[in-house]
Amino acid sequence: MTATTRERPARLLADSRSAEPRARLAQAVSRAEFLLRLSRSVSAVQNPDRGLEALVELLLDEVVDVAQVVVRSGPHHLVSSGTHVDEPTTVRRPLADPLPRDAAATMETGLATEVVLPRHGSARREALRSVVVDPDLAARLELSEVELLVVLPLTARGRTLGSLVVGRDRGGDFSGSHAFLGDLTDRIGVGLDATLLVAESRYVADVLRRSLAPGRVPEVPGLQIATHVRVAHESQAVGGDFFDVLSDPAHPDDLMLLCGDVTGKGVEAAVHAKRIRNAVRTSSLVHREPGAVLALTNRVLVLEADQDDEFSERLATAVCGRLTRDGDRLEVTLAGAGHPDALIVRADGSVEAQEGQGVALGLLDGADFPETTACLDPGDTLVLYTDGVTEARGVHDLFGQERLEATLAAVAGMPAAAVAEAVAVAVSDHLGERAHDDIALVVLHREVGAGA
Amino acid sequence: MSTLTDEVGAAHREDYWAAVSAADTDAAHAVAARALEAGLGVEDFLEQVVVEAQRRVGERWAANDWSVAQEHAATAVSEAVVRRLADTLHVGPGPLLLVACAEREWHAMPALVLTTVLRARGLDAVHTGASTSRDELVSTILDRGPRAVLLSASLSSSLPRLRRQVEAVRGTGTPVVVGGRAFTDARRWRTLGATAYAESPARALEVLAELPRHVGAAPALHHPGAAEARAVQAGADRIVGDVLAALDLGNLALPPDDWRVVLATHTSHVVDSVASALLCDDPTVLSEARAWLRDVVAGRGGDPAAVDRLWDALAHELRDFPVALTMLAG
Repeated sequence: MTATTRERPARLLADSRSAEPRARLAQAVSRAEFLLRLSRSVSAVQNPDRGLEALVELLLDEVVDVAQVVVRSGPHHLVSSGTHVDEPTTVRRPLADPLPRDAAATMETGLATEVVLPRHGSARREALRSVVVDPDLAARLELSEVELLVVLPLTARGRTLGSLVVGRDRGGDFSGSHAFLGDLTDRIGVGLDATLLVAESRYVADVLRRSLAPGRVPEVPGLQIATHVRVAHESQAVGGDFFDVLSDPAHPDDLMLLCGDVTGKGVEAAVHAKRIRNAVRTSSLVHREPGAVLALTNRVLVLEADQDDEFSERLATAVCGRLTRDGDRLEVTLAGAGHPDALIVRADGSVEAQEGQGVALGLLDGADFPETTACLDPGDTLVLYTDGVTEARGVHDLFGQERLEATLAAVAGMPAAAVAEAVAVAVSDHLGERAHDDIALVVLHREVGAGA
Repeated sequence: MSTLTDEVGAAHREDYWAAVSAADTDAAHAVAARALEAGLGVEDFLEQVVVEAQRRVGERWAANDWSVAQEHAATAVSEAVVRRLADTLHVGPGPLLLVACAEREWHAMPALVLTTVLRARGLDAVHTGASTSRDELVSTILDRGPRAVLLSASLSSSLPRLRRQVEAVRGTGTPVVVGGRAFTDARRWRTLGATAYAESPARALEVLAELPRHVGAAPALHHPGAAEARAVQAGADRIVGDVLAALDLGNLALPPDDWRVVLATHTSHVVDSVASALLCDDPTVLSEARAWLRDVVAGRGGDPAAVDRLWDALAHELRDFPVALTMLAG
């Protein structure tokens, strides 16, 4: 790098105590301006890996010639480091891997140290290895003219969360800039603390989210299954609408379908939805008839509601279906619990509602869930959906049953993915920018042709 | 060498087109397998066979040879083929790239093709699916820390929503590359605040190599049209309703491919295009939309003058917006 581009760091770090007032003022303004940009940059990037990298890059561009930041993030130490002539690199190391001695000491004591680097030989190597985590960087610095590394604690809320190592080329030191470095580490500490807190809670939320997300849809020869989900609270990425497609490993032709809706939105609704899915999965190991599966699920939910649990007092509706094959005959049996009727879109474009009228789940002990049965011929499509589809609010009216059936009729005989997309697009166009409830859709299409 | 791949591509193009037209997913998978077996690279297959088929799908629909339903069915087949291709590609280590579609854009294919090309080059690219909202984008960025976000927009009416995505992505310090058919003019992506623009997957690879690692927030838009754009967006529902009332297309209980239905359903896109032209400070957004819609209406046996009436009705509704009026007249 040319000398001119390194003038800025020299100015920021220069000892101006004995300089004329105008120079001191100019330096104070540049320092304040830099610290503001640093704060913005550190607090904008709320992903720890990228936040660290952005920070090290900014420091190397504008202040120092060598930089290393170490923070503790979950079960790892995150280390980002580099010099102003090469791109910073970031590594994650398990906490069990010991940090270099002087870097570790600062993390423990919260005290700054200075490491003077001997000019050459094994003493220089030793001194570098007591601070620098990345062996490649240590090797490069061995050949450099850096004479001093300063190890500074990064502190927030009375806790040392990491350390910053800085160095300058050709014998430059930090004798005139201790106060500036203090301001610098304060800002970094506060910014990274927030980033790490966000990352920690996002990690917890992500584990929860993955456990609540619908499972993979099994592949069944001759059938296409497509699903569409849109949650009301997009930033939470989970909602109270749910579906499941379960195939019996011993009888891949025997398929259980579920689509349902829990009152409420967001993570509380998702937790309850997951319980219902679990109950249905367990029930379907005992019973294979949808009415019986819903009846047993209902008993479980009624019992849970009696136990005064905040998640289980919610109303839930569902439709449960079973597909069985006998030669060329594909039969679907459906039972509903207060849920919108499943629809069968015939290959010719007619749409039939499959009426199954039980009460909503979790209300009445011993409730009954009557079944209906229909045949699914080649080219026919079975559609299960939640009321988020029909109750999507447009400018003048709700999306409604009529629009749904018209949309489906237009895509009769089409692949399942095309049917699901057509409904998703029609609902999205109807909604525009308006808020909406959770939306879920399961489309099962029987292919025409061999194997179907 | 390129002539050889051209020949292999040509040999499979018609087979693939036949499978797509018949909405036969299995046949399309089979053509893909044969083409790759015959030595056609993933990128060449995508470019010469799949993208080519999608172009024909669009033409068929615009010319009214195909219904919306057929278009959806054919596209679903191609999506399934590209998805399977993307899943089979081994991805090397390296920084994560996030590929997303503009909000409320359901044309996932361009983004899917881009994702697959990046993966074919060994890059760790992930596709977030059609219509990715700002909230979903930011959540994914915070969780996974991608090196860059690549945003695709096919419709110029999506650009106001794309601007909000650009703001959201840059707010996390992440560079954002835009591309897609919505960017026929270089002015658009610059005004919207994107970090870079790539007109093709190949160009995206070059652009990625030169991208800054971190970017600042997107600068606010201060040109006179920007304020009008916000007002048009906020009043879009009312404007669409009033324009449709003025057009008086009669009873719209008609087949979905009737020109009156197509014109009515595209009115909201036209209003979005006004907001888009204002936001991008680029009147060609509207002249392109007008020419395209005239063709579509004419292709369905309607009178293209109906589109001119739509423009007149819009001008009446937007009489208090001087910049919009100038652009509508252009």
